[in-house]
Amino acid sequence: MKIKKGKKSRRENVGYLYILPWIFGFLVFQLYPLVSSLYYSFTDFSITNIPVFIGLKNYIDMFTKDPLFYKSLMNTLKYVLMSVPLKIITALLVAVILNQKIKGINFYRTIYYIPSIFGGSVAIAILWRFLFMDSGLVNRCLAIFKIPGVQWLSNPKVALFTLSLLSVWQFGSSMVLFLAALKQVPEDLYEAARIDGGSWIRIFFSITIPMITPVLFFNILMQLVNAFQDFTGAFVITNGGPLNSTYLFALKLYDEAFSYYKMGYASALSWVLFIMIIAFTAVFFKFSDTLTYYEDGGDY
Amino acid sequence: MKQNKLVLREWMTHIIMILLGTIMLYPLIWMFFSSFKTNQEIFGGVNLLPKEPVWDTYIKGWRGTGQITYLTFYKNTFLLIVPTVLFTVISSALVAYGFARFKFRFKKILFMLMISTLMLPNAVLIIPRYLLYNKFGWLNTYLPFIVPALCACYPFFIYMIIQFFRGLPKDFDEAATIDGCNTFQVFAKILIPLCKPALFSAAIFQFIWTWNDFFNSLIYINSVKKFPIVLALRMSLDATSASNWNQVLAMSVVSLLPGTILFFSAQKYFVEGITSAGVKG
Amino acid sequence: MKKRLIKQAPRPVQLIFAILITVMLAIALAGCGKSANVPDTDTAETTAAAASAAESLDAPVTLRFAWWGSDARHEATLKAIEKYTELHPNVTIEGEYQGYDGYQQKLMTQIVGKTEPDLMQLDYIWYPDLAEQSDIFVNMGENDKIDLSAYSKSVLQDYCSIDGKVISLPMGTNGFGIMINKAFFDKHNIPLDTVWTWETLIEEGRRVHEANPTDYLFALESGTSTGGIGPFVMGAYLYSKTGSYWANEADNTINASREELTEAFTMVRDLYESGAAQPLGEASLFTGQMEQNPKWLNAEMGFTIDWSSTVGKYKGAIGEENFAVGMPPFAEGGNNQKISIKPSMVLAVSSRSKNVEVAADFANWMMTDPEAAKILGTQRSVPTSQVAFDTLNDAGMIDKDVAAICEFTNANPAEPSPLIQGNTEISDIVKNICEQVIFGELTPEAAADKFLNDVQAKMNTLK
Repeated sequence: MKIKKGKKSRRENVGYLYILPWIFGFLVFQLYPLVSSLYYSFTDFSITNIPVFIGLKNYIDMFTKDPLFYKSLMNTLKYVLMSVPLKIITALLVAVILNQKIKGINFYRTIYYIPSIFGGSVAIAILWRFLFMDSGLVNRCLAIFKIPGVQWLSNPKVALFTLSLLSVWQFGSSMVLFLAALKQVPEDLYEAARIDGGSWIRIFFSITIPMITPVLFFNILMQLVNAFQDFTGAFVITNGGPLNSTYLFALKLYDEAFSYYKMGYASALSWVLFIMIIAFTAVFFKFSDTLTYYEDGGDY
Repeated sequence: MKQNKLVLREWMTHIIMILLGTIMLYPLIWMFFSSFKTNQEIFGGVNLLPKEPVWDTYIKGWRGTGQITYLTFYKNTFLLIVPTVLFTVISSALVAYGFARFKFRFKKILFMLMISTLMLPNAVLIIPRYLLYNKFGWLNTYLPFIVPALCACYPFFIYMIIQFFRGLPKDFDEAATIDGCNTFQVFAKILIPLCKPALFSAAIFQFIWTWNDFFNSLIYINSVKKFPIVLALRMSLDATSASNWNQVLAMSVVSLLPGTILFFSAQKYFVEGITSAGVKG
Repeated sequence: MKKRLIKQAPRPVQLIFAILITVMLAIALAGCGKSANVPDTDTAETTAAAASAAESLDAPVTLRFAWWGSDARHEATLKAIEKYTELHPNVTIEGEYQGYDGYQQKLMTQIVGKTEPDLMQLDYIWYPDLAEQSDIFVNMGENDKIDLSAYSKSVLQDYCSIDGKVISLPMGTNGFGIMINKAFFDKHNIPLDTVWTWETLIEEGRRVHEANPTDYLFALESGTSTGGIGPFVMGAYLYSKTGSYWANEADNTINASREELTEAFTMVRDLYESGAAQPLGEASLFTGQMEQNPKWLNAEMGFTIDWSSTVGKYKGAIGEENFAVGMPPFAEGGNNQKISIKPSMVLAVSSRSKNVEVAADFANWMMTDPEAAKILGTQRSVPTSQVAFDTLNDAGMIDKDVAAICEFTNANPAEPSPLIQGNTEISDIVKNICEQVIFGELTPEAAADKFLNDVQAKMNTLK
């Protein structure tokens, strides 16, 4: 009995040892700035003066005196709901197709990954404008087929969708994760299913998807979290326009912090964003607990 | 007959992949050809090929302004990125091991804390962090990138590797422990080799994200001679005068190369997954 | 017993314990940080005193000089630095240069962190953000290395001072005018020397657009506080019509009446409805980059409005033979026809620098030495200092179109606009209201009401 207990507590301490680097990093590089920013959110802090405590005023003003707060929230929600599902489905489908051992598969994989290497490159603005401005390439291609052009970036009703296309175009990282996950699915499962005479659709939904649920879950979670904070496209291509239709929350945060220098208010905004993301993902966590299959027995 | 069906399927895959690939890559293709055009051609029309090509954009772009060429910028970028990526992968794997394979008090809380830091918007952390790094004397160095990497400050990668660990049955660990391995040996000899796809994904992502990180680099690095490429590319963009966009595009094309080469050559680590033989053995 | 209690305690208690521990650690860390702060400022003061005591112009010195610009400006400035270090071999000047994006953010962060460079290029519209920090700038009037006689007193007073203290040197002067695509004007038979009013612009624009639906006489982006519909169209119309700026800095109110505002917004609406102006959404894709607008390059656009320092890029895009300039539009029957003028940028020296004297000496040399003027050319627009201007003028180094704009601007210059009118938050509010009018979400009357309401509310919070 005693020996077992000893082993258990030693094993416990070893666990702590492994996560020690994170604990240190978390305290110094994340918790400390986090607590600072929470403090700032209750102050009036214009970066050049000393923060002045004003209680909940920032939060109250946010909900009562700032129409762009709601607008940017709505825009962001729409953007998330448009871009994330599209991105995940595309990434998964392409990963499945690229999971074959055909010639040149390395080239194809690289080709589909390259857009992600662009990141927020300075060239993105020029490229997206070149493609989607009223006289841009896309409209000219449509004109060949006698389809009337769309105001992809200049119409407030369409611009947000065009921006989400940029996010979808960069599905490469999700695809890579799916590829890695697909590789971990044991071949013998597929063998058994084929012997049993399953069609590829059946195999896909009954074997492939369940086996990669941890990564699927992770991918969706990550894309959600990133989509809420997406900034580059809205900043460099449309600058929030036209008519603030692409004014995403991250852009609002940037404006408050670095254009208006209202660091206190910006901190409050970021806490609201933080809480929203946590809420969203908590729901998602709960929902997926039942759906994910973990090889380690789910013993967590 | 079945043979024909397979061959047809292969051909179909090739055709679809090439078509889709061309559409996906068209912006890059256009960017490449535009690096040989004059500003007027880049912005005035939609033609792909330059009508009046300019041939020295790569050379001029590489030379840069002042006495600093892109050679320095590349050197800086690698000095910044290589340690960051290495430390990120190592520390994230260690921490992930701790979370995935051990039970300890407060684990759930700590895990939740770690996950919640994923959602911290950078824009607000940056000012307190800047003041902190200033106190430490780390400004105008690459330490603001490297030290957090050492301390596993990238919860994305920790979580990612945790998920991969969880896909590996505990039988491996137990078998190794019975054979007399301590926890670190289990980690290094059993789990890490099985997790290569995850580790290489982490390395590639961190490489590319750090490569493209504009705002953090901007705030922490002052001297032009320490600029990484991401800052160098925007160095000459100003609203009051015309920039040589063909040179900027040329250098942008060049800056895509390392990431692409890295990805292309690391692919075999994705191709080698676990086979069932490995599991049984 | 206690051990078991904690272990078995309900989860919330464990949670609270964990949070308490981490918070205590965080406070301890923050506390360490704060106590380290106090010695910091002390040593900064003592080193500054020691430095100025030991300073002579012969000791080896390194200065940091930050500016923004494009390649051409970087090259010219680096050459000027080289020249200065030839004359003063003990001085090394490190350039910290980049594009405009992120420059202000970085500088502000540096100022807060007390790591700003010795010499800083600034845009004067940033003064309100820096007003509380004005002590960090060297008082140019009291530094004997700086020769203020090279600049006009009004420029120094209006654009280079905070609270009556001259804290920066004007580097160049920007006039204001329209950038004309000559090929377009020829195509539509419009005389180059037309003096435009907003009203004639709308009429002529309507005619042009009806004849050629792809052509627009005028294009301008939605913009920001540095330009765009708010200041260049609506603000300019009000100023020209009523004779005064719409913001009253003295008592923090709005000068313009509801009628005047409605008139202005009606004009803005008509400008776009008539087809005189390129649709706003499309034009805004070229914010700060109007010379990249395909309509500009293909002579499908007549003119835009911008500062004289931008002549080079517009002209370069379409070729010298296709380019012309003109006076900006006025309001018909308005009270004045004064034209906006402002310094392109200003140069300040940090009072926290360890080498204030050398930095000031360099700043003065850069602005007033004829050699320096020739090297720097018009990279920062037409130089404000008389010496530099004369040098370039005599050498024929000033672009004729830039000179033309500066000429008619200087003939009838506008007073400086109230800084609060250029405040970023207020500019964004004005921009949003203009957009809503143009996209049909607000009638001009409703827009006027909204303007009076929202802008006044914001002005109240900013005071």
